[in-house]
Amino acid sequence: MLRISIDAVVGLSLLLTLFRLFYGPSVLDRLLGYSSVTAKIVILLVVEGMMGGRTVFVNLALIYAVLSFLGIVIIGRYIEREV
Amino acid sequence: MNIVSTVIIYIGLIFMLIGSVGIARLPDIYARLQASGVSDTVGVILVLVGFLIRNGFKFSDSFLGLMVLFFFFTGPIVAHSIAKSAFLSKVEPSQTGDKGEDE
Repeated sequence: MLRISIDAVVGLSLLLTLFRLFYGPSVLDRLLGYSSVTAKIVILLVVEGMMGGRTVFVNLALIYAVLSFLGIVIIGRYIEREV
Repeated sequence: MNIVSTVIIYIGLIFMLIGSVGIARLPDIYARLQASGVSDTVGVILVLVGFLIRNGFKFSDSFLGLMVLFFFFTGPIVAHSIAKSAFLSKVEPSQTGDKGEDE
């Protein structure tokens, strides 16, 4: 019951932020949508690791969070004066 | 213990849902950053703390504590990085106010 409700709410907010990722007017909006989508995917991975019995997904969530953080900071620095 | 963790997880989910509605609806990059930077950090941290309490602070879940620390530091850094990038590339704040979308 808890897992179904967590997946439903996170999936709904994932759809709302995927809208911003696809239809954002500028590059910075797409970057913002990407950072928000990765946070939701981290939640989904942790839920799978904690309640689905496959604990390796928690480690995968940590690695995914680190890589998305590095990517967002580097892309934000790269497009600083070009939008 | 189980009830406390469930309540904390649901509070985090409510934060995340409201923040996502704000990201989809607000008119401007700075307003969307305000919605995103608060809701992602607090939502993820609350859900992870809820799972930590639910499993009873075992040593095998130390990755969850590590991720709580990581999101506590990197959520504001990401929002500040995007805001600084928007400010330096001279994105104007929208003056119209009550429109749902630009264009």
